[in-house]
Amino acid sequence: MSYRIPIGPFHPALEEPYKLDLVCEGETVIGAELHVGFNFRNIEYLAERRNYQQVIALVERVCGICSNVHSVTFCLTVERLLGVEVPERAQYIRVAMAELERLHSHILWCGIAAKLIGFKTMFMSCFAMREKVMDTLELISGNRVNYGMNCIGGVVRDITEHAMILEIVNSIERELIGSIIPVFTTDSTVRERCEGIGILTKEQAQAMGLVGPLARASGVAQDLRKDAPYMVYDRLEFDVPVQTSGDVAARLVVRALELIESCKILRQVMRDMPEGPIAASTGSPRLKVPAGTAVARIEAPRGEVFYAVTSNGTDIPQRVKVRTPTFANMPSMQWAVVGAQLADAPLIQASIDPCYSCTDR
Amino acid sequence: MSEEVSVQEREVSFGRALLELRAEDGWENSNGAHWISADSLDVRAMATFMTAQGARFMALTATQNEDETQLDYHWDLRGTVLAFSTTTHQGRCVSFADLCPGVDWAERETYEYFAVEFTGRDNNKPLMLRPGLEAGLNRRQGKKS
Repeated sequence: MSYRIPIGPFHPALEEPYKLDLVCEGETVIGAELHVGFNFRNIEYLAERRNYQQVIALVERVCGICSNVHSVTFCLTVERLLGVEVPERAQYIRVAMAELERLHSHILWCGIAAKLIGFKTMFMSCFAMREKVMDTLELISGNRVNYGMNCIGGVVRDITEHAMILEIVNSIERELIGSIIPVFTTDSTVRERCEGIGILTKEQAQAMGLVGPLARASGVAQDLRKDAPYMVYDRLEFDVPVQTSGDVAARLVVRALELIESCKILRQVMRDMPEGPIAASTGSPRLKVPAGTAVARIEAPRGEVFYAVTSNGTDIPQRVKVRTPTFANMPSMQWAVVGAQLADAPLIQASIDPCYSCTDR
Repeated sequence: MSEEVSVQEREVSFGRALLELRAEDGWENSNGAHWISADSLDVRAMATFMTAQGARFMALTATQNEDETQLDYHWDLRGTVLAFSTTTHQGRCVSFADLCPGVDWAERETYEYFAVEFTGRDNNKPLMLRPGLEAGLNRRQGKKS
């Protein structure tokens, strides 16, 4: 006999509200139904009532963790419509912010995963390391979240503390290599807890159009930084970790290895950043944008963020479309939990690294 | 795609030649994507063709155009964004969620925001809105494109 277990909207594993109805037979999950929309703010609609400068601040509130990604992707679309060339130094600064944000997001996720696995010491280590990343973001932008770094045409603050940032990046990398990565990739308790559960095959990943580390853990080697490079990623050397087993363990490994790649990128950015202006002039703060539609996308920590912006020639956008990575990834949850033990369901859903603030917008 | 370019009355022929992205076939390379528009786009043929090419469905952008809605289907084909634009007819468009599961949430969301009815769907449960709320939350009376 099957029975239904409603989990949420206030979830034991995550801070954000959503609801998952699990259908179980004994301890085995045989079906799942997701309910989202508890964080719905209709940001797309609100964006059609604000000028372009105000929308930068608005879209930065789509997500609390990858806030910078949203403002920079929106700026990219508007810069395309305006035909504005972003100065090189600003592009390097945007990459630095993007990779620090990836470190922040992935380390936070590693901490939550460790907590769900039952590895509280690792949870504390990850959150202590996350503080270092947030301190660095504060050093650059003045803020720990919602950095306010982007403007149309570039960035609003320069990076001047190269040596200090490098020192922090090196210290984070040492800690990653010394403790966190070995634990997540080789520790027998972690492997036993994560291997073979929540499997999403490559075929499922492709059918659902999954993005980011979730897709890469299922053998789909896609990363916009390589496939459709933006900013200065085509000048930077880094690898894209891919795993093929598609289980929770693969997602752990992919994100853990991506942390190292982000450190590698940050070192190159600090070394190669040229002198020069940090923003192109775009004239009036209430700039009018030529009529047309532009799209832009960025490899956010959780995967592809996509924006489509339509202008009707005024200072207020006619349409702002936001497609977040969790919106693409979350429906796969209904496949990932089927066949799993009920006790594994919280870890499986957390392994997708969902963001409901992003999904609901 | 500029705003002046309206959705064309064009037949899009889904064959390998389409992916050469030639202007004479109706493609326009503009602002981060290749665009093609057709008034009566066969979206199921598009989905079958694009998935067979290994393309990934990215997003569905709906924009109110007076009483109808412009629908832009965005696909990623090996790093290139391809956008197929069409328009609803009497507020309806055919669903292809059975061919491409990735479009399921996008269609449900578009119904809720713009009251676009996707015909042939099995699952019409609310996504973002709570049950009982009227669809078309973002539609405005008398709005022009």
